[in-house]
Amino acid sequence: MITFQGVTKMYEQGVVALRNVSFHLEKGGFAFLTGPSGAGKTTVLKLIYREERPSEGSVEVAGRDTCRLAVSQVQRLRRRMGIVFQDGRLIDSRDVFENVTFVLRAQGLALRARKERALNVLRQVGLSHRMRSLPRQLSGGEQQRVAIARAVAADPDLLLADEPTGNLDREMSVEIMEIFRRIHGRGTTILIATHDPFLLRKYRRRVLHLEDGCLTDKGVEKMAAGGDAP
Amino acid sequence: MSLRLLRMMVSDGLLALLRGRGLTAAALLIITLTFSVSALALLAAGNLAATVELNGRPGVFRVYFGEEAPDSEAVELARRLRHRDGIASVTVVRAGQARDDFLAAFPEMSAGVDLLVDNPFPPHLEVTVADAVASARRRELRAALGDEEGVVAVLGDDLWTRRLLELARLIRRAGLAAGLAFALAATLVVAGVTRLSLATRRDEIAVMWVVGAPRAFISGPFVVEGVVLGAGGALLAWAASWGVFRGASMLAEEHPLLGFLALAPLPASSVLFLVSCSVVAGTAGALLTVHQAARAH
Repeated sequence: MITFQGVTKMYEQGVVALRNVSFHLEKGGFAFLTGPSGAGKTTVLKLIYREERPSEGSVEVAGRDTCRLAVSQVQRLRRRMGIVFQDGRLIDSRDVFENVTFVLRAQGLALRARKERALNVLRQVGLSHRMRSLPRQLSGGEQQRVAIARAVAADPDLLLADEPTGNLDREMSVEIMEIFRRIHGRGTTILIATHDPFLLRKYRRRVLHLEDGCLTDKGVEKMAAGGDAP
Repeated sequence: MSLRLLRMMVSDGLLALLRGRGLTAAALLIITLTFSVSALALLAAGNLAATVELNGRPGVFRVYFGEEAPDSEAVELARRLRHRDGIASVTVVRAGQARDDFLAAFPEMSAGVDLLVDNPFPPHLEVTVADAVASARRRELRAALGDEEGVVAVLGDDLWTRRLLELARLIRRAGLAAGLAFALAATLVVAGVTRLSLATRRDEIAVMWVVGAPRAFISGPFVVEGVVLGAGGALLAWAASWGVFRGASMLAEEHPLLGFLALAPLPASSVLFLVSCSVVAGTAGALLTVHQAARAH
């Protein structure tokens, strides 16, 4: 599903975010992308949904080299992805229901289909009773669940999540991870960027560990350290 | 583009205009004011031309012959002209009659005229055009008289008519040119409004891009906003010109002295011109800004 081949990403003023990163995540796979803040986790995700282009190397998603895609093709590819942002990126002026249906609308779904899907995913994340609340009226955990509902509403092939439990307590983190686990059970490929060791221990999955923009073996060590299997 | 996408674009565009109603009203006002200048110029030109056509039609042409031309030539032309369409009457005015007519009109000049050895007043024809003949046909007739054999000059009482018609043409051209120039101004106004609208909905648009919304879905509502602002401004300008027309009509009805005015609202072709200019301007303004914004993504 995702193939990084010798990817280096250099930002302006010579800041190197990634150095020669290569990995492959198969279709239906589930992996954690770990590393300290500033290690390049968000850059990896941005390269996958083509918000950024690699300075060197190639990024393939669903068999397509993302660098060679026209704008319309990038948008088509993004419609097959669900993205949960670190800051949620909910639209403050729209209520929970509209935040979810908004994405489905942008993807061209008819009104009835939009309503059905939105209700369904909000039920899955346990927020069907907060449909008419504005984001600011929700707790951090609830906002994150709305972001997840929005990301999975269109039933994507690939789900990317950037620190989805970053600001949540342990109980809420587990709740969120359980939602991801259920989505993965339907065959969705999932890549979660996190630096929460608790999640890595609890959910023993493949770990891609970044240090200073490089993939290292420490991830394998962490996985070997074990934890509660899901 | 699917009908559903088009519907979404239109409803989103209209909703955005409604949400930013203060900005929408300000933009509409500016576009209306600019296009009103053009609309009023076109209205004035049309009405001036119509009034001149109604009041300023020359009724009599005087046809003069060369000095060597025999009287028989004038008589022969008079005979032919009497059978021509649109001519009510033709009178042959001989030299003596011309002199007498002049002295009857200007008796205080008789002493001066008596001093002259030769009669300076040439013989000529007085051609009276039928009332029903339109101005354009009168001009053709005048030109045709000038082309007759032996004729050296055709004088008519239409000098001011021609000047006023030329003035009306100039005002009309100025109105059209203003319409085009104001279209440029409207483009800039709509571009500014779109820029503000983009800034207001920046977060929403950023989310749309990352969730893979089609480009048309993202930019479409802004284009709809531009089209609505442009067309709305032009239609309001047309409404303003109609108001002026109604006001002038009422005034003319109340004051008999103004009864000579031939008043009509802005013709459909002018309305179409204004609306086309403004729609193109609105679309261009929105596309220009949206295109710049899209490049950032």
